[in-house]
Amino acid sequence: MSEVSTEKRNVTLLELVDRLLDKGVVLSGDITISVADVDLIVLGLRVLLASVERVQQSELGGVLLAEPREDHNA
Amino acid sequence: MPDGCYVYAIVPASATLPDDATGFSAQLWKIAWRDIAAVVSSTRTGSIDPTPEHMLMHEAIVEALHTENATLPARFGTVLSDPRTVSQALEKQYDVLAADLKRLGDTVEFTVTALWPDDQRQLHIGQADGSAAEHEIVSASTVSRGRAYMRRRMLQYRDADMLRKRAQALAADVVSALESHSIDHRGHLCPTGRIALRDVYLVARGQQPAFMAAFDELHAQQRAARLLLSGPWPPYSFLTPRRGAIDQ
Repeated sequence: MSEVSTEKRNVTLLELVDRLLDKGVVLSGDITISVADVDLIVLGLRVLLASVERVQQSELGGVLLAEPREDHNA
Repeated sequence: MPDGCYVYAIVPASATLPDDATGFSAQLWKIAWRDIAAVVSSTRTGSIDPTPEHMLMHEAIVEALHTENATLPARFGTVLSDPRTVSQALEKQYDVLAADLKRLGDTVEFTVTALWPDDQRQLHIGQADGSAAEHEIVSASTVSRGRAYMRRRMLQYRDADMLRKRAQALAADVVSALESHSIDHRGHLCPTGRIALRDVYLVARGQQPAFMAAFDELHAQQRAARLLLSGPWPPYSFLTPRRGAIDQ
């Protein structure tokens, strides 16, 4: 894969991860998790089941996610 | 283990689901509240791991919905305990969700990323403004450590400032070329050392061809950076932020 194609693929994967884990509608509510047939109810839990840090450890992380961001309105 | 409801997106209650649509090992279905609905599938586990495969599956379902309907994508990994909880969540956020569906329903978003070419990145560091000599002085053994440190910091700030100004000029060119074909846009300058800018544009579906043609023209003319375009995406970046959300 050429360098440009690799960069483009990494940028697209980064954007997918950024959207799915950091954006989108957030619905909060009770979530019931069963452990050995005992229901554990967690109240008011907004279910975000991964953090960016966890993703950084995966192949999708790459250089682009590892570098610090600076917010600015262009 | 009871089933939970994995939420993919919010759609109008009258929305059509893709034929033979299945999510994480289960059929898609809708849970409605008034004229909006959540598209869900039942899940036997309380969590879905954020693997590349799962995220691509989530996105594929959202995009299939978005092709045919006004769609607000849900964040990955949203699992609620049962349909009643989903309805209650829709009721609680109904006003915002209904307004966003109306505002964003017929739109897509594109991301424009500008990468500094390798040779131009080197030019930013002390050469373009003639400060290369100063960089060399900092390295000389005759300069005291403290002074050398302060000079290095000063040069770093100067280099970063120059890089930022170049990015601002580039951003102005990009916005000038694309904003007339979009409804809204948001940008980040220099989010990393390699990326000059990352702009997100909200585009009406009908404006997509014109927007992409304008990008192609800009791409052909732009020499300061390598431009990449991704999209169309569902309008993730332009949803109304939720008040009191844990991460805001």
